[in-house]
Amino acid sequence: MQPGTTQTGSTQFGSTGRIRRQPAVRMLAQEYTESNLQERGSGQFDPSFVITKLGAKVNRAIVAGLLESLQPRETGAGTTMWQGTLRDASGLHFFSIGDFQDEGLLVKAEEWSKNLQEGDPILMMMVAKTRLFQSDDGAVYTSLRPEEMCIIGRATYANWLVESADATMRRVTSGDKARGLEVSAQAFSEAGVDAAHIEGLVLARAHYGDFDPEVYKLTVMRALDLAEGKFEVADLPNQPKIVITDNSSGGAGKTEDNDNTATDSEVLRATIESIVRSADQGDGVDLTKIIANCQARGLSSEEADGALDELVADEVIDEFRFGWFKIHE
Amino acid sequence: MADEAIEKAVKEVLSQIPDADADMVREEFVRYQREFIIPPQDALRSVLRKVQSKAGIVAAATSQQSGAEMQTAPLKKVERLAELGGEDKNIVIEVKIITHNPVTQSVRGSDKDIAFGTLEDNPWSTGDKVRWDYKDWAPSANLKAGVIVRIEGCSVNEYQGKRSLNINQSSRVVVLQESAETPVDPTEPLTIAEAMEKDGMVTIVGRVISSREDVITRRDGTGTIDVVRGKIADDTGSLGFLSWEPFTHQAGVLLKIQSATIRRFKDTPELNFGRTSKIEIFHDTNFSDIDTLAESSVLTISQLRDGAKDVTIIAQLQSLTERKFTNAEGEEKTVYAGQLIDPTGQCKSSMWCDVGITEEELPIIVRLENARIRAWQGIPDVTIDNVNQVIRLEQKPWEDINVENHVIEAGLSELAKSGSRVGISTTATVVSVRDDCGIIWRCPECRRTLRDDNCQVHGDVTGTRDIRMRMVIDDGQSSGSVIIGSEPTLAFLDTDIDGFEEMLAEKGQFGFAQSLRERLLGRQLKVDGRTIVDEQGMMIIANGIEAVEVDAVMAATESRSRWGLL
Repeated sequence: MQPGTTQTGSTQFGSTGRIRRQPAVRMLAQEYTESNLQERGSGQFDPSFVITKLGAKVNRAIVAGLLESLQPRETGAGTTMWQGTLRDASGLHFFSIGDFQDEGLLVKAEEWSKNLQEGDPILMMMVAKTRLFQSDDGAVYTSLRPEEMCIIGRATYANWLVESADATMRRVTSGDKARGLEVSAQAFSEAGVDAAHIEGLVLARAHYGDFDPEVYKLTVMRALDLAEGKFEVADLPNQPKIVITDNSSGGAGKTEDNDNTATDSEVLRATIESIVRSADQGDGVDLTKIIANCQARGLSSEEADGALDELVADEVIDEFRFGWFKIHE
Repeated sequence: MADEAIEKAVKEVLSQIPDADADMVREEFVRYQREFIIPPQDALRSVLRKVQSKAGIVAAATSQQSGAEMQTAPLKKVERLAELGGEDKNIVIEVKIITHNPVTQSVRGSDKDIAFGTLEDNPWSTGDKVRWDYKDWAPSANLKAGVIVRIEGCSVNEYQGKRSLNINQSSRVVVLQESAETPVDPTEPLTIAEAMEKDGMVTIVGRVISSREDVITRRDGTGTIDVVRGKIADDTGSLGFLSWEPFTHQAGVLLKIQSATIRRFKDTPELNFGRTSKIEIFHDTNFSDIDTLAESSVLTISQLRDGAKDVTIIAQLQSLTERKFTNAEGEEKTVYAGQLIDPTGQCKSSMWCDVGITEEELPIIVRLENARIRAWQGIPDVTIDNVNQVIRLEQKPWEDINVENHVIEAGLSELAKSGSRVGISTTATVVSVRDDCGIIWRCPECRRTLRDDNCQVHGDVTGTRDIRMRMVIDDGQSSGSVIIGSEPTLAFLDTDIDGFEEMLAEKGQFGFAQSLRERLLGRQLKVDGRTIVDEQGMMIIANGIEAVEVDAVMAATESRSRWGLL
C-alpha cells in the first residue's frame, strides 16, 4: 500500500493500532434483541461487536422510541445506576446507565424517571454502545449502554424510523444475495453482496445459519407505516400479554424495602418471559436455569421467583411439571 | 380500523383497572398516536402505568441484590491447546516458542512494548503439535524463539473463530529449556508496501535511495550511538531505514535485506538493521533504477505521515509568515510559517531559515526535499531546516487550485476514505453532541485549548476566550468529528456573543449541550468546510452548518419503492 492511502477495511484500525470511532448503526429493536453473537478483537482496546442475524456488525447503535420504564438501582459499590426499556415500532430495548457515565446524563435520568412516574409520555433518541450478557448456561441477552440520550419529537422519530427501516432492508437484501451460498467472504463478494456487509454476514451465517427474513420485512413495513402516519398497523408478533402487577393486593406477598432500591416489576417479568422463550428448546425450562439467567442480569433469585409465580398465576407462563416452565399457548 | 385498535386497547386497560375513566384512557391513546406516532398496541404498557399511578396503585418495589459477583477463574492446567475453550482464563500450559517479535505499539498516545509470535504445544514429545499465535502484553525477557516455557495465567482470545493465547501482565513465564537454535529468518521477501503494514521481522529487496551518517544520543545521557539513516525503495513504495551497524552501501545499490525489523515512530514505519540482519547485494536487471524510484517517491500532501523523514514533496506555497519567539533556553528564534496546498489537500510548513521567498512571489510552486514531517491536530507540517531544501519550480504541475470558492459535495464515507480535503460540503446524521460545546479558553501563543488556565506547551497563561461546538456526524458506515468555530456557531444559533453567553449562563454547560442534542441528535446536518483525515479518523472544520429538514413521509415512500414494499 502506498503511504497515505486509507485502509477501507471495516475494522478501521490505523497503523498505530488506535481505533477509529465506530459508526452508529441504524437498527430496530427486533433485529438487535434477537442477536446472540459477539465478536471482539485480539487487542486490549479493540472494539467489540454484536453481530445480528442480518449480519450487522454493531458496536454503536442509534435507536429511538417510547421510554417505557426507567428505574434506579443501587449497585454493590453504593452508587446508583438506571435500568430502562425503550419501545420502538418493532420491539423493546433494554438499557442501563451506569455511574461511570456522564453525570449530566445521570441527572437527566432521574428527571426523566420522575416524569415517567407521573405519566408523561417520553419519546427518546439514544446513541448507545452495544452489549451482550451471557449466563453460565449460554443464554444470551442484549443490552445498550447509552452515550447520549435526549427527548425528541414526532418528526425526528419518524425520520429515524425511515432511516432504520432502510438500513434494515439493505441488510435483508445483502442476506438474500448470500442465501444458500458457501459461507465465505469470496462467495458473498462474487454474488454481489454489499462490501460493507460481507464481514458481518459471514459471521452471522456461520453462527445463525440461513433463515427467512420475512419477519424483518413485516416490521420494516410497520415502521414505514408509522413514519407515514398510518396507524392501521398489525400487532407485533410474539408480544407477551401485558398484565399489570399489583403487589398491594397480595400477589407474591412481598414487603417493600426501605433502602430506595426498586426495580420495575414489568421489566423483570418481561425478562423472565424472554428467558423462557429463548431458552426453551421444546422441552420447557427448569427453575434453576431461569433463576441463574436472572442472576446473570443482576436480578435476585427472590424477586425472580416471585415474578415467576405471578406469571404462572396470570397464565403467561405454564408450570407444566413441577419446576419446569414454558410459555402459555 | 385505527379507532378499533384504540377501542381494543381501552378495553384492555379497563379489564385490568376497572375503575379507570374510559374517556381519559382513550384520550391518552389518541395522544400517543398523534403526538408520537406510537400505535395503541405499543402504548398499552405506558398508558397502563399512567392509569395505574392515577389510581394510586404503587408499583412493586422489591429489594435488590448487588450485581453478579466477580469471580476469579480457577487455574486450568492443560497439556494441549486443543483442550482449551474460547473463554478459558488463568491457564497453565507448557509450550515451545516458535517466533517472537517485540514491537512498540501506541496505546492511547503512549508507547507500549508488547510482543507477538507463534507457539507450539506438546513440546516434549515428537508426536503431532499444534501452533497458535500469541500476544505478550508485558513482554517477558524469558520469551524468545526456540525456548520451551511454562506459561502460568494466560488466557484464550477468540477472534473470528481463530483462537490465540494472551500472555497477560499478571502471567508468569518459566523457562524450562533454553533455546538451542538461532531464530529462523522469515525468508520470503516482501514488497516495501507490504513490509510497511507489518511489525517485526521482515525480508525485503530494495534499492538504496539515500543514506547518511547520523548520531543518536542515548536518552539516559550515557553517550551516543553512530547510526546510518536513509531511504530504500521498490516499485511499491519507499521506506526510511536506520542501521545500528556500519552500513556502507551507497545510493543506487540494490540490496536484499533479511531479518530487518519494522519499528514505528508515530505513524511512520522504519526499517531497522541490527546485528542479526543479513544484507547482501542483489542482482535484478529489471529492478527500477534510482531516478525512477526517487521520482516516484515524491509524495502528495494526502500521503504525508506524522514522523516521516527524508520526504520530497511538490506543492504550492500559498502564504509565508515570519514569527519570532523566545524558546525555553531564552534564545530568540525566527520561524517562517507557510501554508501549502496541492490537489490532494493542504498542510503547513515550518521553515527554520529565511528561504528568500517574498510575499509578492506568492503563490509559488516549490519542491521541498529531505523534509521532516510533524503533524499537529492531524495537519502535517513539512519542516525545513535549511535553504537548500527548497527549490522553486517555474511550471505548475497541475491546473489552478481554487482554494476559496470551490465547494465539492461529497458523501461522508467518500471523504473518510480520501486524504484531507478543503472546500467540501457533506450531509450526514448527528450522532453525538459533545458536552464541552460552549466557551473555551485558548493559549494566546499557540491557540491550544487550555485546561485550568494551563497550556500543555506554554504552561500557565491567561487565555483568550473562544466559542466552539463539537459534534459527530455519521452515515452508518463512517463517522466524522465536526468542529464548529465561533462564527459558524453564532450563525447557526442566530445570536451574537452576548446572546450566546446569556444562553449558556441560563442553561449551564450540560444543559446547553442537551438543548443542542434535542435539536440535532438523529437529524441530518449539512456541513461546509475542510476535512482532516488521519489515522484516528476524520475531522471536519466547519465554515458553516445547517440542519436539513427531511420529509419523513416522502422518505418512507421512497424507501418503499426502493425495496418493493408496497
